[in-house]
Amino acid sequence: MKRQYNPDVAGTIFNIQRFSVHDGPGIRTVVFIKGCTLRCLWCSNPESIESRLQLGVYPDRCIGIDKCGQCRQAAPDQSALIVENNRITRIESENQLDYTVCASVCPTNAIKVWGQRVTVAEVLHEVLKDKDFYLESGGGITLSGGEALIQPQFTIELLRAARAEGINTCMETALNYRQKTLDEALPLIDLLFCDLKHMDCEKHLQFTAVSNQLILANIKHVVASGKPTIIRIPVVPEHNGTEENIRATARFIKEELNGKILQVQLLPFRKLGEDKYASLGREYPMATLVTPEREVWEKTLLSLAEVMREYGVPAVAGTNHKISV
Amino acid sequence: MNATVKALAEIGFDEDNWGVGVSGVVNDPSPFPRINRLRNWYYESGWTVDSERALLATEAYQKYSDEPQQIKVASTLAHILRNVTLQIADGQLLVGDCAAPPKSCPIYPEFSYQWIVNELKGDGPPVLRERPNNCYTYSDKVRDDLLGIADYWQGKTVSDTILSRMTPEEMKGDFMGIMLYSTSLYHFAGVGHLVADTDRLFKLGYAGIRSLVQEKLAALPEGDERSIFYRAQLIVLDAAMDYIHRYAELARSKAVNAEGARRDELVQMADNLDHIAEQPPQTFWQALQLTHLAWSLIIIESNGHSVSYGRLDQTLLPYFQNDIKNGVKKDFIQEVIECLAALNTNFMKLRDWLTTQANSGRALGTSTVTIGGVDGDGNDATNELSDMFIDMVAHTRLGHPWMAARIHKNTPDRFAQKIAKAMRMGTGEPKIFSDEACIKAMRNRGVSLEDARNFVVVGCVELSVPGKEYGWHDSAYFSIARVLELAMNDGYALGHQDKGRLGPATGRLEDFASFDELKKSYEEQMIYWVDIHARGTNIMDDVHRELKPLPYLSLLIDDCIAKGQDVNTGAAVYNFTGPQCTGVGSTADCLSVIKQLVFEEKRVSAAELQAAVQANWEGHESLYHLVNSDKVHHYGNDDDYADELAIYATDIYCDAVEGIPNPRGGVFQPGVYTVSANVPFGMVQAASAEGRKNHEPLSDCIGPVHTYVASHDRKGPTAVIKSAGKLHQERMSNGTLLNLRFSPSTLSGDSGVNNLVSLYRSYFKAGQEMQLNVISGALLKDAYKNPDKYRGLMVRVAGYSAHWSELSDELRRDIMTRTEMSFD
Ligand code: SF4
Ligand code: SF4
Repeated sequence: MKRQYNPDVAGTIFNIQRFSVHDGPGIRTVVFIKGCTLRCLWCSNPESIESRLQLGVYPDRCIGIDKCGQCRQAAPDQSALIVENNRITRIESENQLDYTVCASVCPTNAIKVWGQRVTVAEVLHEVLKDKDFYLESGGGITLSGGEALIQPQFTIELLRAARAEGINTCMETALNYRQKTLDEALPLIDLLFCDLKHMDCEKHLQFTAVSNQLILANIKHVVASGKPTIIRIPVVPEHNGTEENIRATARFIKEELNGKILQVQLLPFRKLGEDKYASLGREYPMATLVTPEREVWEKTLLSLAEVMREYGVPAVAGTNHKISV
Repeated sequence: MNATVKALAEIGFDEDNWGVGVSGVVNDPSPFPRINRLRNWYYESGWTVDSERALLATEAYQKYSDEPQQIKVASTLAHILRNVTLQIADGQLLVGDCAAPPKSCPIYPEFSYQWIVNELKGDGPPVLRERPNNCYTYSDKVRDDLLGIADYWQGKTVSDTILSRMTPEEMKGDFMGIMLYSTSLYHFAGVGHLVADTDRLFKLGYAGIRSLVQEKLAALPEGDERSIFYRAQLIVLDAAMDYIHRYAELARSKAVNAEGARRDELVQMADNLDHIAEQPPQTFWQALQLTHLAWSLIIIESNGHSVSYGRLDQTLLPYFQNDIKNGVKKDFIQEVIECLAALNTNFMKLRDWLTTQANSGRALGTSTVTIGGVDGDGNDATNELSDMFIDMVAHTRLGHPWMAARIHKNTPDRFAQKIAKAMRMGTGEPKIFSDEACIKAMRNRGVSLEDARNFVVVGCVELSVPGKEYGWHDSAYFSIARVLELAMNDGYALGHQDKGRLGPATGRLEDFASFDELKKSYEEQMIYWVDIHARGTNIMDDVHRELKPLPYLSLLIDDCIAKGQDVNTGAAVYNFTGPQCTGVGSTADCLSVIKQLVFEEKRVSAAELQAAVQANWEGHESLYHLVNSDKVHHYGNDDDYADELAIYATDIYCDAVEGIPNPRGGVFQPGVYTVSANVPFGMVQAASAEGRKNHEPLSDCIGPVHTYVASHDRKGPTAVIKSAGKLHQERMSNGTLLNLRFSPSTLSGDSGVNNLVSLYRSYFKAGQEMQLNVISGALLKDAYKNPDKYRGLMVRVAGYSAHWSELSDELRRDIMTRTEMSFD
């Protein structure tokens, strides 16, 4: 029999989330692949940016070096563990990964390793646990990130594996990737989610650290190929959440994509992930952003969706609207 | 547009889409103004205690003291029915109280009385009318009346008699001892947990049944003892008919002063009542009225819990169809159905102070309507009435009667989705049951295929055959977590070392060379405790049989009339005793901690772990957090390591329980659910190795552990469902219960409904029951701070829903710490 996929290919992920109901039809398991080519200011998963394993430290979770101190006993060099007010606050070492032993003994996950090396077979084992639910609900696997395609061989083998098991596949990508890789993945995908962060090239560069040229070219390519596609816009106040940008996006969809997409989902930005930035010793770039009340912002989103619909674009606020593929 | 659709549209809902999680927010949810008025009356009036039933029962017991017990209790019921004050609420279309005014608790002194005396006096627990929650008011006269009969009942009650017969060995593990198990329910009150046969009543009417009994009596040979049984039945039959005629009279007298449509209604009600007092019902209205009255009489007689209505969408269907054919409006039938909810909500039961701390929630509760499912041939029996009962839940949102929806693989998607929409409203109703799993479990106990297919839910999750079973469901709560504690400590209970060794000497954890030795110890303790618990339960069974025959109930359970024997003697077709275990998750995780950390990884020694537990984890913070962390295998994560241990822990319990004989010729059958008993059972247990502190609640039902610091399930509802589905539920024929809490956003929109249906359809391949709380954590937190703001907020406690504002503090906190299944 022809081998349908290689179970031994390894990759780095930072989470597997079961019962995910917002990332494609039905009940899904989302595999979050570690690493991204963008650097969005509003990113709420800073642990997803780099492909390598990282250590995170959460001082609030530490129960006190005097009461516990397990990390200290395990550390290759105790002086690298910085303690303030009796709690571990960070690890100062060139070789952070030597301290993953501290994470494995820490009872509260105050020290934790972001990321996990896994094989396709291992991921599949976890994903298949909910196969029954996928079949009942029309769900399946969603590959997300970071950037789902950043470890292309791993991602493609995962998609092949899911296909071989008869599981519905979705992928969420920022599309800032070589078209060749994309073309390899596309036939293995049932439904594609593409992020569209900003139509203005300058602003895109300013907010995400990359230009939108490749992204826009890719999305045209994808839609032209006939792949069922949903566009997601994380709507961030003062950044891309302006009527001007929304109109520009709608025009692009209407004119360049011939409106041939299933849905545009406007997702409300919320300040999340601040503690994760801190755990990585990074500043939260959106710390000073003033966000409107949730209800106000949701209303804004609804009216922005309305604006897009003026252009015949099937825009909705949120992820709960039925997707008919 | 019919009235229902129109009114729903007015309050912002269309028929297919009730709002999500708005149970506390909508003021007038029913399209029928009378229902909203009855509902508002319920919210605006207080709870009271009434002495009338107690006084009448006392008079009758004194008057008939020389009669045989069966005649004495029959005459007592007759005396109550002929003399008790009757009520018809303004605007109600149905009648039938519990021998007390609405929202008032009747008292049943023949079952137990000392605790009532204590609470009236404030002897120990707080004075009844000054309770901080679950408070009931009463006049000084009522108090004096009740205290005045205290001497008479001293030593005569069911409870006193049980106590006089139990040996110290049978008490040490029960609620009067260390409460490893508790038989308190039937110690203090009646049994119930059944559905009466309405088929015969509908066919013959009370008068027809009377002729049947009369014939039986006439056919008896001279001097046959069974004549007493039949005479008792005739006494209660005559009284029941008189009682219903009394309601007819009352309706007629009210009609005199009423005007317009209400006057016509009252006249029609009077005619209906006079008719069904003796004859078979002819219309839906009459049939539902008779069902309710027949049901209420069982409660007045037996003080039972969970006396249920049965499959009303099946039993009432012919009347519904006939009415519709005759031009009766469907809206009117809907209105009558909603009147049942308003009436049922007013039935009260007084519970002792301790019980209310763990089992709050007012009202009688526990009377369940079962809808949906298959018929006797296995075909789908869902029909229009099934939908109308779901509408009743949505329109009344009172939490009563309880609603159990049966689902099977051919349940129409449309109905399955409607159920999901009702569930996500957040009232906790309906709870849903799997035909496949429940029928399989009942077949395992020798119930015939046809009878199993006709199963009903009686109470929280207990399964029963209508009109044929006296199942003693809920006979005891039994803590397997405590069994494990004794298995780790050579038969001693932590915190009770002064009482000496209570169980067999099976060794200490520190001395076990392997995990298998712990298992052996657990198995020995289990057999010992299950056996003495069964001995105690069987003593209760004997006392109920001797002191509290049930001549009225025996009219409506097969084969009592045929055999000429009371239902208490084993005359029912099916006779079970059903204790249920608590602490599945706690026990599994405790075993897992020991297996993994002590015996496999050797990360901690047995002595260290025991010392930490005995110190209530103080000074052992690191270990405390470790056992509560994801570094240890925990039940509820679809992780075979821990799930195997949950299977093991419950199998050992089932092995011990299955097949123990009861005095009615039946056997014990295991159930696995706690309702909310995980709270009191936690309260009496010291800390435990899965990361529980002293007196913290145990895990609830078959759900995962959630302690003060962590929920042990971390992978969401599909993982919990899969773990629970691995348990050998086909053995747990007394029922299982799985609670899940979702945030409203997870279940919103069309996709939310589809996903919920998929979740339960997947679980139902193996699991028996599932119920939801759909309330956001933020809302619960706010409700915790401002309970008064959320007067109408219903939450699912366990087997039942209750008003948030009425729950004890412990229980509120317990509900808040359950994992919210959302990744939004
Ligand atoms: S092991 Fe974790 S909890 Fe313990 S001292 Fe170190 S950081 Fe704190
Ligand atoms: S594309 Fe997504 S993962 Fe990458 S930086 Fe932007 S928000 Fe973060």
